[in-house]
Amino acid sequence: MCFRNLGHRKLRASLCIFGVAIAICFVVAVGATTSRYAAVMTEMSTFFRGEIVVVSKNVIVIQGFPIGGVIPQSVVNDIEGIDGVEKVVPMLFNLEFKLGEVSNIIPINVTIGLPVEDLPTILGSAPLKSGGRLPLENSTDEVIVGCSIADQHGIFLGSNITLEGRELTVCGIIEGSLTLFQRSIIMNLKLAQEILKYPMQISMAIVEPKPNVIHEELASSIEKQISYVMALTENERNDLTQPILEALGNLNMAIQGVLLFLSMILVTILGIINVSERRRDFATLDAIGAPLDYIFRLVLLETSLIGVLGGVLGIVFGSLAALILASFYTSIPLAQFFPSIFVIVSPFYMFEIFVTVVAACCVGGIIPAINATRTRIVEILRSEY
Amino acid sequence: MREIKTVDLTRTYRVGSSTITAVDKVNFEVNEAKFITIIGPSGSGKTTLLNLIGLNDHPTSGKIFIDNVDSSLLPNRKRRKIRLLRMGFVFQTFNLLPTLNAMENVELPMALIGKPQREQKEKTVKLLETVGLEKRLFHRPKELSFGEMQRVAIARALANDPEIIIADEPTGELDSKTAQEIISLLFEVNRKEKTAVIVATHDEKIVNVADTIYSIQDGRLRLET
Repeated sequence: MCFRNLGHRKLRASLCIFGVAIAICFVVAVGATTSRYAAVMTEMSTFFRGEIVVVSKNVIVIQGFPIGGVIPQSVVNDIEGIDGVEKVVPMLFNLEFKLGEVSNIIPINVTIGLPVEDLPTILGSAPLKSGGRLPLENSTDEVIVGCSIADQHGIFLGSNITLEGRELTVCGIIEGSLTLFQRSIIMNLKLAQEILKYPMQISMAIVEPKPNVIHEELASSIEKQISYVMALTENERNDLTQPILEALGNLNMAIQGVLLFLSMILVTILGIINVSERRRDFATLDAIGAPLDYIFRLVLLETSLIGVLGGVLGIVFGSLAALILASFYTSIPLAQFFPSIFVIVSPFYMFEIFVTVVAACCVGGIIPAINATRTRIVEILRSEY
Repeated sequence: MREIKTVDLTRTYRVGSSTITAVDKVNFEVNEAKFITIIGPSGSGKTTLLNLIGLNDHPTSGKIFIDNVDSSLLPNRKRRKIRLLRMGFVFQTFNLLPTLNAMENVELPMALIGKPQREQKEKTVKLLETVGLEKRLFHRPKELSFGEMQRVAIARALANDPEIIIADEPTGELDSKTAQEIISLLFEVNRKEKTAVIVATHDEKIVNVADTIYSIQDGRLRLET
């Protein structure tokens, strides 16, 4: 009956559903995009747990990864000489390298160079595709690449790739869910320094403190002894990122709130118009003895149905829009994002938005529903005769 | 419903600064399955009186007793229940729900009392056969003629086996042939189902078949025969 009542005024109902769908499309697209970048940032906090990251002073640091800024490789020896340091791993980390000469607003590839023996420091338990292996020690032409880059460029184990005019062989492909690795090209530190043209320079040093050493004190000691670096403990790195994550979360909430409120208003207006046009129907229901809650529910169901239809359409279009945005900002072909649609827009997020929009439309139906229950046959007949 | 009785029933309306008395101290009684007509010109108070008797409106003064219970003491929930279970309504403009087909319109009062769906279907088909619409079960109101719509409305009014049918100008929108058919139908319902029928009309043909005739003028009711 609710379907038919909506179908009775096809154009108006369709426009309203379309309006709600547009709002939800926007909510999902923006929400999924910001959530994805927040998730990548959060994911980066899983690296270097319990370690101190030393980077050049005054660079932007996102969860321990510096954006630009290099320090001399000799700093490793200086840090090793400080009390309380167990081990130091130098790393060159670059976000600007572009495979295929495509310029992007957001970096799409990450080039990481570090001594081969220290690769497990960053790779952890990330699996390599079967048949693959880590580059050999002192290798001058072997790299491992992330599965997303491999898929995008048709790279297989043993494939040759050219970076900055240098012929390289892919000896391993990293699989797993970490976005950073999916888009990484990892190689020997020396090779990375040559390709990226940072001879004897690194972008960060990962310091493993000795047991029972207080991290904050060691970090402070490193900064005191080496004036041109910042030494960031895990807590400090989290503190740097937290405001960005919070800002993203708040922005998301604000956009969602405004758009859901607008959807609710739209549904309320449609509901009021529909009820005022169907006063005779509601009055008839009242005259034949339909309980008030039946009439109330009837209107709420109709507005909720708009939420259901608008929500489903909005989530479908919003998910597509999120993929298109991701593709646009990274220049990664759209087709490559399709298999990971539920990673970019998680099913839980879809469900959350769906429930919220249905609830908003249901709330939007309250005023029309109250109006419907107040309609009496006496008024209708009196206005007729 | 064994009895409906009104005592000095009055209903006034305020229109601007003046007060209009639509029903003026009406004393009226229905205690048998009779066919009663209330005749009177437009604006005489017929519809207002039927709305009061049908518990769709509240009197300004006076009382309506249903089975000796003062209806003004009944909460709205109970008044609705009485309308749903014990009364059937037929309106001049049919008041069918436009999005429902004939069957669904007739099923509605049964659905509202939670009758099992199979019983609803069986009874609806039977009622629509009774009113001669067995071939129009799935037609929506806009696909029916005025006479057919009024037949559906009568079938709907009979859905919950009411003790009384209140019909307000049921032939007002119909041509004379169709009007005659509707009158016959209401008369048949009255006689076969032992359902009391109160009809407000100015149609002479209805007056001719009535057991009791009242006339109403300026809100005052008078027994004619």
